[in-house]
Amino acid sequence: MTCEKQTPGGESDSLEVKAAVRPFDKSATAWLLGQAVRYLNTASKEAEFEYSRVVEVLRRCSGGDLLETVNGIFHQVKGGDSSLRWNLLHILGDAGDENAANYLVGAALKPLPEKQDDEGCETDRDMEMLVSTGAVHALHRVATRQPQAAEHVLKIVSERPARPILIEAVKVAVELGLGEKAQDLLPKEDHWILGIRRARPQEFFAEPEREDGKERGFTPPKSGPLYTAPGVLCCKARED
Amino acid sequence: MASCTYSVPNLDSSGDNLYGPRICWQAFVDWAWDAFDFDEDDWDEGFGYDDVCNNTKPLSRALSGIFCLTYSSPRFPNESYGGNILEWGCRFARNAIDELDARCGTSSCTPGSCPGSIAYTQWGPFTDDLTRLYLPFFYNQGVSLRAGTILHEARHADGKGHDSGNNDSSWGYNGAWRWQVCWLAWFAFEGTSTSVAMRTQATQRANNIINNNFTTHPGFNV
Repeated sequence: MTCEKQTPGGESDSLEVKAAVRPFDKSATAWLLGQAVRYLNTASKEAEFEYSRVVEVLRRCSGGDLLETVNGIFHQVKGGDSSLRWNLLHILGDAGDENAANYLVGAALKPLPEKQDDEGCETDRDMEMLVSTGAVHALHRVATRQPQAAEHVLKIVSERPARPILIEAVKVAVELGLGEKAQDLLPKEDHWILGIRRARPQEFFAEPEREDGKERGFTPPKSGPLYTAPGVLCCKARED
Repeated sequence: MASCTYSVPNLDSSGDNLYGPRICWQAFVDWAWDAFDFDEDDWDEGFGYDDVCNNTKPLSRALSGIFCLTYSSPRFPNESYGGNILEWGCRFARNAIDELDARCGTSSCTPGSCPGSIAYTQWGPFTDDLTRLYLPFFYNQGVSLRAGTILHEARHADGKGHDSGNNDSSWGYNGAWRWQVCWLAWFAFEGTSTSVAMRTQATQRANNIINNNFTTHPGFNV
């Protein structure tokens, strides 16, 4: 069977745009968060370096309002724009201190939308799950820098969240040296989670059930000389 | 005809500021339009038909997903089925998907709320084969996840549904969830010209699928 989704007939739909939210305009810390999001989503080694610099500034100079600023943006972006929320938690994992741990536990345990079997294969529940598991991994990075925050991950395990969140929390607990404590918190039927291993890339093999033939058609254009799009970043040249 | 509204989410965090300028390339747009059988009627009325380089519109954001699916392998233009799924995923998808349509799916998508289904595919005898992308596809997931969704739907368009409700019974079933996991995993391992955020989201989404969408857990993660 396929994932069920009732849809109206074949006629097309219409779409209108509404005003956008500008989450990074309200303070210096918010602006820095915006820069971190930008560099985290840029494809270059230079951007990775710039990201680490912004994170360092956030660690040292946010004056303790990093958590408050992230929380404020989360209030604006409640149940949509999961990518932005995932990015903010990722940055909090890199720049936050022990105080961020409780917040990340709360984000990991936020109730997920109800599962609706007739809604289709992927839904907003999956995107909320990604935000929650992102919070678990952010907590891992905080605890790596601040070992006193490590036991927070056990709070997530003890609350028995949805399986993907629980599994990530158990994996993080093991990596933080808390495997035995996590095992004590798990019922026996869930102890198999501790045996989940990391697979090699070659194990991610999908059988295409076909061989190379003539059907290849519509060969994509090669990038390079044909690439005419403008660059994303501002050019460096400047008139004096 | 349904009507819907949206607010533009952050363009950096979704990857649309990274991939949007890349799809603004006439040769690519012409190719993708034919290869995935887009039709004007399914992409006008605000969905971006007359504004293809605008990365706040659904058409640009769908093309970003297709770009990511097409060009992320370090061995492009090799698309042999003897390689890994990052190499041949686009080849399979464009041959399997009969037509790619945009629809509302939900009445609105804002940073405050973007509920509902992401995509849908129907196929079979006496059926108008098609794949539909809904507002949450465009506005509630990043570019690399969109690419994974397109491949998932392509597996359905090829005639392979799920065999355990909305889940696959096992890894060995070789269904849409396994394919999506494999593509995301390979994208995270060796995807080119992409960002740390796109890679990391791909890894985490792949693990969430492994841990949630197989009735029998395969026993491993990415």
